[in-house]
Amino acid sequence: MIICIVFLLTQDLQSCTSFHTVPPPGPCVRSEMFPELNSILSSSPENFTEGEFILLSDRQADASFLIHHYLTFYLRARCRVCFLGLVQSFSHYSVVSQRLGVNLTQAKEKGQLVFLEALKASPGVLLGDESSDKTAALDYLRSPCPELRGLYEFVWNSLSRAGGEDAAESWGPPVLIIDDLSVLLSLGVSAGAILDFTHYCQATICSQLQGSMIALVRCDDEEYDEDEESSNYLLKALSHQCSLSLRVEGLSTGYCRDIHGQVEIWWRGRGIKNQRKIFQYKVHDKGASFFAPGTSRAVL
Amino acid sequence: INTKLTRHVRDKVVEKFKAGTTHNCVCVRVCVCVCVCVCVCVSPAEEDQNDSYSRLLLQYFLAEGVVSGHQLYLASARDDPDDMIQTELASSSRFGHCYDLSKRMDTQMLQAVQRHTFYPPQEKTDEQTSSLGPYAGLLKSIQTVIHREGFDGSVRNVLRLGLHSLGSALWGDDVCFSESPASGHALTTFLYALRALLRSSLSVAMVTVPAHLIQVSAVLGRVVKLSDAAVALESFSSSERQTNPLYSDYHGLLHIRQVPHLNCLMCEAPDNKDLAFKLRRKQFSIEKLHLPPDLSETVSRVSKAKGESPACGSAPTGHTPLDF
Repeated sequence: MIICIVFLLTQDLQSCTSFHTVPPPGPCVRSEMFPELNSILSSSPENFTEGEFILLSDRQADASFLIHHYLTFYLRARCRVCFLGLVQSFSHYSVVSQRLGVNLTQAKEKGQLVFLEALKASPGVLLGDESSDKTAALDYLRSPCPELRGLYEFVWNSLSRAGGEDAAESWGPPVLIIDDLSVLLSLGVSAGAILDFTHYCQATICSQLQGSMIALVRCDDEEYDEDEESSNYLLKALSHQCSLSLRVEGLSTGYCRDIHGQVEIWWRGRGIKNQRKIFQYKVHDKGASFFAPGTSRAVL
Repeated sequence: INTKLTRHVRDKVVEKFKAGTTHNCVCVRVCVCVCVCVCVCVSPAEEDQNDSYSRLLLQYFLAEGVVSGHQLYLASARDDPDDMIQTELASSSRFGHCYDLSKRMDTQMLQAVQRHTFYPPQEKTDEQTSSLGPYAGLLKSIQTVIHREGFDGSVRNVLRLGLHSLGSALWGDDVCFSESPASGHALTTFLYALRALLRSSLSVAMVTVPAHLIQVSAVLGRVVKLSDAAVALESFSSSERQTNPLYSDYHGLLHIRQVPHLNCLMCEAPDNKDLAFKLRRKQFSIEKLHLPPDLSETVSRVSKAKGESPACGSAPTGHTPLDF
């Protein structure tokens, strides 16, 4: 009780909010960086649903903190992860994951993590450099017709080997994380090609290999839904394919420093399993806290 | 322990990306020397007026580079980049970082700066075979400069890139006058590749885009998402807002579309994002329009009045914030 009052009187700064989320003492401290989210979704690195296609999306907000959450979550769960880094470099994820308690470099060396550095390789491919990456994974950058078959084959090769040649480490179910899908629209890939790609990935990774797939789609209000090359169209189509959808949006009342936005979580099951819930959230330096609308500590 | 730690954390936060929005001067001080791509978009209004505001911000950005000893790279399709550099702003204070719009920079100081320019009329155009369309030459030039000058490895200096009015017809791009442009993804593909180059070198780029001309609505959103930081200038000159008394002191609104958060989950969030700008004789000033919402996680609202007397009416016995 005394500790709580001292922290309330401390000068509030965004990056010192690790004091606000005082973790309970104990050995499991480092794994609880997104404690409320794990309890809302009834999952933990020790116990989670397999075969899920989780769709993350944002509008007037940035859902990339959820990508960091899922990356560290599945690495902690000892799953084999294939990460398609289409918008940020490996070092960005590495620095953030370090704060969340997971070492990406080590995971890559052990063979647990396969990271596609697509962003950094792109100028070479686009300019047709001699020394550039020749793999088919980046075929979507090569005109005239950008397509994703090469990318799918890369994913398949990374995740289909069960255990790998080094049988010393046997990893859990395979996981594919894509950050993010909407940037492919900016590069000239058609929405149809993207949907084919996700369909193939879901069929092999989720159904066949009993693994999971997480993809992020970033949307805008300015795009028209009827436009078949818009992110909104892509989001609608993917919402039908996914099993769990987390939609991150800014607050309808406008920008607020203490409440960064709201998340609508939609469990897409059948009958009573199909339910939606809305939470508000705030992102900290080392995680994010989720709370029922109107119950932010800044408001109460 | 708490006060020492919070002061340390506060200092660390202040060191990060800070765009000065004080009343006195605009200090576009980019402290993150890794790779930040700043994009300034201009909203609907008359072109010349708007272009001059974003061009002004570009000049502040480059002037800061001159004062800090960085190398400059300037690309423009409309004005000769060499001329643009000659008309750089003079610094108005002894320590630099504040600039006077009515004066020009000392030629000696300008000559000491290492600069690279790209002016399409003077460049030879290759066949446009890739999805970069008209921007292939520009990307190749930037890649060459970064590699030749060693910004991707050996050199410990920053390269500041200023790319003026990308997307306009002068670049050979038809995204500004066609609803279904032939090179529909050229601009966004270029920005994607630029982002990649910046991520692997010690450079920072500021790009201006004439948003009011872009016909395809989706493109602007994509341009913002491909940047690390994005700011939109909305001039009042030809809109109905000019007559609104709230805005009578200002020339336009400045919207913060995106705040960078590289290498961290979340960076220092600004108090509020409603800013307005005014072009004065000597400076371009940016001010807050209003106070942020009165919310705080630290203000103690659980304050109980001492004694039995009611909070209002009688003499106050406690020091609660609600007393009056």
